Amino acid sequence: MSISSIESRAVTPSLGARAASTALSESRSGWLATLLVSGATAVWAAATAVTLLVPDVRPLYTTAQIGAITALLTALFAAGALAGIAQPRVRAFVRALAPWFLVLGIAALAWQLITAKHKLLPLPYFPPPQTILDAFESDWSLLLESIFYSMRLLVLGVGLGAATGFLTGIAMGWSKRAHYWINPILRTIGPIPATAWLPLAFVLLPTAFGASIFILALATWFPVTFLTWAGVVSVSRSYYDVARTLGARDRFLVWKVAVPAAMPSVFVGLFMGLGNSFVTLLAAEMLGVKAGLGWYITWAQGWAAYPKVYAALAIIAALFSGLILLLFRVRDNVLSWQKGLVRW
Amino acid sequence: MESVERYTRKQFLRRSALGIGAVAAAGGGAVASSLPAFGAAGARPQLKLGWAGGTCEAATYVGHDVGFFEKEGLDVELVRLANSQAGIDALGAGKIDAIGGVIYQYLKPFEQGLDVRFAAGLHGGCLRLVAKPNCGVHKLADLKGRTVGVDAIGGGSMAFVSALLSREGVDPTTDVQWRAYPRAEFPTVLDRGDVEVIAAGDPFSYFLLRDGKAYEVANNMQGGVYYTDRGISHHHFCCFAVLRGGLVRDDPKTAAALTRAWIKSSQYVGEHLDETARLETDQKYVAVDAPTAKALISSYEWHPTAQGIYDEVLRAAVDFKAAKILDPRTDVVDLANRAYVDIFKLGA
Amino acid sequence: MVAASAAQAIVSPPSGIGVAIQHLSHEFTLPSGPLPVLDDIDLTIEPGSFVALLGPSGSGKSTILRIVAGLDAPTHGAVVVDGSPVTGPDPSRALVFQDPTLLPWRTVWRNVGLGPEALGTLTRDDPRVAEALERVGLTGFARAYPHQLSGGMAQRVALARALVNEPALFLLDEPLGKLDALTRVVLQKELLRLWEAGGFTALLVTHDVDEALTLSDRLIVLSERPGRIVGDLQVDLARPRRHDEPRFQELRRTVLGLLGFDE
Repeated sequence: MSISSIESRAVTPSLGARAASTALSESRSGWLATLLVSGATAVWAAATAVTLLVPDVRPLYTTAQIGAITALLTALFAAGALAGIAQPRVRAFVRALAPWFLVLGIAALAWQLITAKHKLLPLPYFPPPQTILDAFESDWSLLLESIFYSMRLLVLGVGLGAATGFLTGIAMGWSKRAHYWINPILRTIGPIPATAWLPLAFVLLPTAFGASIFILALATWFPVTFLTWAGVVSVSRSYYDVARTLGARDRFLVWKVAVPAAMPSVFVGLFMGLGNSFVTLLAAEMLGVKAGLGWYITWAQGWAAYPKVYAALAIIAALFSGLILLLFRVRDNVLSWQKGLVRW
Repeated sequence: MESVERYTRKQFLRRSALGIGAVAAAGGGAVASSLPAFGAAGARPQLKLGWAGGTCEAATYVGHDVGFFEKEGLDVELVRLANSQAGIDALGAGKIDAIGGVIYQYLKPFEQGLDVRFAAGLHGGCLRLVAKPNCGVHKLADLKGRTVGVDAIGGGSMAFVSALLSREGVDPTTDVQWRAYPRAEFPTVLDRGDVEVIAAGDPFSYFLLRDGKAYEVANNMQGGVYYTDRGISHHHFCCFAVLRGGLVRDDPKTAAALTRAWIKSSQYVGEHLDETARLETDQKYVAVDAPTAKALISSYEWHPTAQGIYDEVLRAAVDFKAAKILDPRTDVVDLANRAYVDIFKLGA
Repeated sequence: MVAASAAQAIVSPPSGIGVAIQHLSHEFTLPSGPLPVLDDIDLTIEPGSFVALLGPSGSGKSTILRIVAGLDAPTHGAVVVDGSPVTGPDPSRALVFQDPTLLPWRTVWRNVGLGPEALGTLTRDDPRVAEALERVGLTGFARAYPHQLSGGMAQRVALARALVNEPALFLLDEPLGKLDALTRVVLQKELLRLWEAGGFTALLVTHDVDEALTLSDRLIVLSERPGRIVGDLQVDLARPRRHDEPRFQELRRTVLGLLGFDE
């Protein structure tokens, strides 16, 4: 008998034993998973019941709708669980979803009980879900308009900031003179929050719209510059050596060697810049803006209309997630060569 | 037998001491600070009053410095706030017990669930609608289709103008545009032509008038003689005694005492304008100089009262609902009933 | 001259060029003070020959190559290649490193085409790239990315990248040092084949005595830092060379002796 076959015998249990142990562990995890799934369904059913059957502690206009949404979610999940009995792929999906669904169900139930059925937390800061749905329904056209205005501001401001940041970072990384002049600016201006610039920007720029764009651009410029510079500076010298021996001149070295090598770092900067910009959006929209999500939040907050605030925050969260996802897709495309090397 | 009794009594005492200690430790923080602190016997009730640096909050400053609060047996601490909007959250969090608040700023939050009550009117005026010369705006109806600059979207100035507009049949949400600008930049804003009309509170709106950059179109006193009380006619109130709901429920006597003192000091302001202006500037309550302070408070109305305040609150609610600031489904009578408190009856 | 020949179809391999290293000394400037690495190197290399530079680590062999390539300027002395002094890097003096140093964001094809692209002469489906890949035996890997290649394949791409410019002088800095023994043997044969077909002058830096004896016509031995020439042997063996030939072993003993290893 060869050595390899002896080894394999010792290490791998027999096929029959292996199948049995797998089946045992599956069945053990099986009934736990079933418990989770049924538990989650039960909690959501309870939330539906509480929403529709327990009387509201004060007049809320959308309780029936909230109840309907809760019931729909319960029904969908239950349908999925039932379908999973026959379909293993559906079963796996439902089981993967179950723990989060359970937690969300508990949260939904608690939220209804605490805010809509009893007044356990102070208003107006902890409103029931009915009021948030109500805010969406009564302000949907204003919210849509606000989304458009904010997106326009974001695209222009972030675009400007990212483009200038990219070029500044390359200049800083490549030219000692550029680094000498820009580095102190980067160090002093960068950390100052954009909100502090508001009044100054407003006076210096001809329009309030320009001031808002400026604030957003500034918030994006700092991280993009910094990380582009870091990327360019950390390019391995041997890349330059190779290119130079092949006849490359400075322009080729900058644009065809330094920039592509720095791209992973540039993307980190873009992510940070995008995140920064959302935070700054609120401040940027405090000036002379006709509509916008930040404007909407400030306005609603002034009235202590917190359901509206939370509705707008939910929209901002969704938009932000979407944009980040988009940026990820772009990055995956541009940096596809990293697939084998780095896991992000 | 005796020893058992003593033992169980000792146990009981120890347990209650521990219990009280635990409750005291757990109950600290916002909850404790929001209750009037009753210390050892003989101590006066402690109250926190908010203020934001306006000349129109004179009644608060005078009540504290001249001694009206003290005369009612109250120990009042003045809490500085960043701006008038911060008062809303300060009351909601229980960090202050009362504030002289613009009803236009507090009514909607009340509808949203903010736990406050309106007890008395303190003064009238301090919010103005001003327009650039030769822009063609001479009355409120002229604002239709125009853009108005304000200090804060949803602030008191925007609110009072919206309320007045709805009385004129102009829809403030669709017929007028609102833009917010930093207060200090209003002169620049007018010069640049970003807007031609501004609604703001004093002293910024007053400065525009004083420097000839704009003329006054309307202010928040007007609306005709609304209520006659004891032979004194007064226009609409601007600031009301806004009391924390918990204070009114738990200690109506103190709340009544506070309101009484506040009314008296507001009366005093109206009769001692010079002295008040000097006090405001010397004690650095306000950021303007004494002559400006005097000019401002002279232009307001100081006829404080708790009479007829229900009607004021109801009127404001009706206006707001028409201006679409309050929810269209809100019952304004129910709202006014819940918002107004007859504090002298409750705290008798 | 190189560009002109690249524009035509390659008919005959270009001839190698001569290198004259004249009184070359070099020192690094460190914060603690100057560190001399080369001490008066004087060396003339015949066109078309295969010369090996052998020496212990730190003897400055790589520094000599970098100076000949034009990447660094020497503190004293000069290098004259094909009659003109070296002032900077040039594609006619190709340098292959120990690390393949392929640009990871480019495919093999675009890596090999880097030289022509830098000079602005690269065309779509440029035949020079395909030809270079064929010379190193990697036709079919044009679309692969560097991270998908083994060490040996990557080094071959690096060779192709250097070859595509039809260099007259090939500088090799321990190119096979990071490869496993088997791959090394294969690539040594490759290098010889390329040299015999290409006719360029080759200057190989290595620490492997057997490799130097297998490949080169002339073996220069350097001392420890600061490096100076302590030996200059002709390797008068017919190719292909066998390690078990007595003359091979004799030369090996001589070289090791020069390096300070007495058996």
